[in-house]
Amino acid sequence: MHSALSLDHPAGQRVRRTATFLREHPVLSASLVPIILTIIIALIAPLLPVTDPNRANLSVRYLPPLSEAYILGKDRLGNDVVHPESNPEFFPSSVVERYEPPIRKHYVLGADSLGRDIVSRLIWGSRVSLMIGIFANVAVVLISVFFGLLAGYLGGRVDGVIMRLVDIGLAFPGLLLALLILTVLGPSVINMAVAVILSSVPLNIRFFRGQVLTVRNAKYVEAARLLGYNNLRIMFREVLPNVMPLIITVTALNATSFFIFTAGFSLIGMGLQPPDPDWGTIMSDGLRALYEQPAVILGPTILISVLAICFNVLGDEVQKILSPRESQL
Amino acid sequence: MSRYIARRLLSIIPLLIAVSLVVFAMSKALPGDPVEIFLQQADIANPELVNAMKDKYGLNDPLPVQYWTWLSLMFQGDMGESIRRGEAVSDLLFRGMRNTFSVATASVLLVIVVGWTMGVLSAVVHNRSWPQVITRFLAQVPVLMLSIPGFAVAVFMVLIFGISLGWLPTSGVSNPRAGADDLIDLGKHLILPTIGLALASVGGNWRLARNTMIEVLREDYIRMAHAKGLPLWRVYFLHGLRTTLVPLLTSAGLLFGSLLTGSFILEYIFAWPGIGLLLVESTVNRDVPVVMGATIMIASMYIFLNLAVDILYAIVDPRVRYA
Repeated sequence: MHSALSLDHPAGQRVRRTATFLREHPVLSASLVPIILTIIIALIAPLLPVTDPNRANLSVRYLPPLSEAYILGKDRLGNDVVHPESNPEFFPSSVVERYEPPIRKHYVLGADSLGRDIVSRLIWGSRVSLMIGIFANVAVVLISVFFGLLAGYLGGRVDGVIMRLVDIGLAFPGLLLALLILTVLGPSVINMAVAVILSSVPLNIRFFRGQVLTVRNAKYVEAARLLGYNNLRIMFREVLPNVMPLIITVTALNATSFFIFTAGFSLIGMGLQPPDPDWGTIMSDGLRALYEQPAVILGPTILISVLAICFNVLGDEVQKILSPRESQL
Repeated sequence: MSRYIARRLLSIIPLLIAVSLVVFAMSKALPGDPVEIFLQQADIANPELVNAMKDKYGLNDPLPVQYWTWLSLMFQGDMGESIRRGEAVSDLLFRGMRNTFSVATASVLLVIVVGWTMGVLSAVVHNRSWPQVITRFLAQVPVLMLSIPGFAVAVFMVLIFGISLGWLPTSGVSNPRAGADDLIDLGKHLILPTIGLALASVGGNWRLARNTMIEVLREDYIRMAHAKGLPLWRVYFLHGLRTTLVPLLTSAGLLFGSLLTGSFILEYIFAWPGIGLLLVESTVNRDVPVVMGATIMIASMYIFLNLAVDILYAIVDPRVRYA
């Protein structure tokens, strides 16, 4: 009965409760699997036995998937000289230290326009894609909850000023504002994150303000006011906890769009700058080689689609659990 | 009603001014002088020439004067000249808009024809005791369509229909060998961008139509229509769909607005010379007059489209007018 005993510990109980929860929501659990897998791979990328994602080698340019190449030796700079042939007669002049026999190297998804291993680029690229998604999400929620609370709870002039600014932001549809910001700041990862954050904050502020308005005149808020608590305390101790489930829902729903935005911006060359990999830049590299080697673009596109579907399903499921009323729409 | 419309029309004037101010401020915040960048790329280093060009484009005036000149010229339809291409911005915008308009119209048509029809059909199937597999399938397909990003769909379609099968062209609006007004050629070029743009919205409208129709089909007037012996398509599409038309029309209207504006990633993939591609290229080249003109035009169109949707709402639902 040792295992049963250990499950009575608080930690064991939490594990058991999580397991039950996951079993009761199979769709949610299924959508979590690829997401968690990607996060783990992104975290342990430096430990994985893959080559440097930026190591170019033009002799294996556009190597098809599932093929192998041979590391013939080292060149003067100490870099591996990779070549698709293992012909013993073949011996490029750049090789100073020759391996006998040459070492086999597998290119599971082939190589890109500069002969870089696509698998290692995908693995390292997952870090950027996920990091920006998480960072942008946290920032957007913090900013919009704060201003949503201010506008919704204080009302009056504060509300007027914040909402007029929000209106201006909302006059730029979709990613137009982000594009405008990127024009000013210039393309880079951080600027892309800033652009995505600033362009999605207005909509989120409006949403949270609406939610705050619905609880603003609740009896418990009135009671807190009668007790003489100051506005800050009421906003963060009384109102905030009551819009908390919505914050989680919105975070889950935002995850999809941030993930797609970052990939899309890198794809059109406004995000991460080459040679550093993220899934969007790998796609953009593949887009230039559609006829020569369509396999380059296939990997990142499939990964992006699968993760986008999972994020979307996750968002839907979280919404169904936490705020069933809104999910009817 | 006319008072409501007048009030709403007045309310967008400060918004339009604010938008123009934001765009102007951003264009001034750009690092690097556009004239110098242009001359650098042309390999000319000549301070006098820089100054002369700045004078020509009015870049030496104080900021409020520059703003006022820009705004008043824009009201006369003159948005300046592209620094990069030497063409009038309004010409570039017009050409881009025409291409974007054709693909946006095709997408909205696709959404209405496929999305709404499939939505009604899956609601009908849901309300009958058909096998679970079919019902589930018809409910999950739109969710799948919604979830895959448009550019991923675009890439898959290009690989399958453009490259493997070679059925359809994958970039541009027309084949150079075809005539300028060869409609069949244009239609062929339209197919892939249209599907790429519309797929997510087809899914969205499919789901929306399905969810609302499931309720509607249980109403008494539907039973009445059945009892009268009307043909099924009339019951479902004329009596049933009609009552759910308001949310559907709204979503189609807003979709049209966002398609006119927010499709630059897809236009980039298909090399579709629309407003989005123009915007991306001008952003990369820092062609400020084009970016300003395009942004102003897109934002004001979007503001007016939203207004139109609001007014439509007010016409349909009188309660909105007094809110």
